[in-house]
Amino acid sequence: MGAFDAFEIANTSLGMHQTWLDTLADNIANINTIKPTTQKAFQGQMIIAQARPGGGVEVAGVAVTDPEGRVISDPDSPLADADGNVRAPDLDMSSQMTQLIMAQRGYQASVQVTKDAQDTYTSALQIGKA
Amino acid sequence: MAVPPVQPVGFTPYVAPTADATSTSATTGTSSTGGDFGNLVLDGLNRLEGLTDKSDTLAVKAATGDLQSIHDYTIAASETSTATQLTVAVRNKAIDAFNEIMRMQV
Amino acid sequence: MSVASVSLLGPDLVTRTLTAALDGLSIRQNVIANNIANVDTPDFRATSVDFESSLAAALADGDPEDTVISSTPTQTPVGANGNNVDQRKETMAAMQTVYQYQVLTRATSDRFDLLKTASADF
Repeated sequence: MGAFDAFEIANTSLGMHQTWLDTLADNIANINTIKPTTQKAFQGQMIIAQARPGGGVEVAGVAVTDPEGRVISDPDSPLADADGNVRAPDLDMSSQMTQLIMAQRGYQASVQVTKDAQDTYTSALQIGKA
Repeated sequence: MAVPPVQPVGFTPYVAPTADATSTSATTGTSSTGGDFGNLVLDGLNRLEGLTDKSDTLAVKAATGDLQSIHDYTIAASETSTATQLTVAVRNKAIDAFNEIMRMQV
Repeated sequence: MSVASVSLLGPDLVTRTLTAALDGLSIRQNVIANNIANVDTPDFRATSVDFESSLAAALADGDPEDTVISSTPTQTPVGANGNNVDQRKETMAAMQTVYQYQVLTRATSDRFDLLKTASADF
């Protein structure tokens, strides 16, 4: 019911931040995934967040990083081409880590919103009770 | 910040009238009993009215966001609650005493 | 005796004022929840709820139900991705809202308790 909007709003945020954390974890796990230059690089995912009309936030879509990736020189790699190059993902570790912290913080903030909503609704239910 | 002292409710103990043998003094006894009894309850009610108004004002202040400190409201509310309970107890005892006096006349 | 001044036609002025304020705080809590949920959404602009001034004015006319609960954009600075949610500010506002809500539910309960006390053993 509309009486518990705060819960619903916080819930959308928990969902979106969880998805964000999952994609970041996947990106970080694959930050060193090398592909030969004949193939696409590993493509990291980036969620696109937008405000939800009924309140809260939702994942509008997922963008992927450049399939060209970063061409780096690694002649000793078994996947290296004639020039000794391989494709690395177009992902920056420090950026991914920063986002990880932001996603965690955003998640926790909405957890607190849920607790606050609980306090409010409980307090309303106590009116008139001895 | 000094907390204003709790105002006394103004309860004056009820003094039972002395019973007389003659009927005329019995009638006088009734009216003087009625007078004391009425004053007793009214006095308490007047004090209570002041406290209730104070509580109401602070509650409204809390609603419009003008309450400077929560203890202003909770102290006033507790005063009113205690005063109400005291007044109700006084009223009940006064009514009981009055009924008892009325029974005596018969 | 004002402690028993509840009209049989409906709740008295103070209770109606408290109810109007509780409505305002409820909306405020939802708006804060929305701001916090969108702390990382690009181009999101935070809003804040005001009802206290409207309530004070409506009360002066004896009609707390005329209170207008309005939600307006905040003045917080916009960050690189177009988002202007100040998470610390919103978190503090959330805590304060919960606290205010509890004060008013306590006030409402107290008034009902007074009536119960006054009407007991009647």
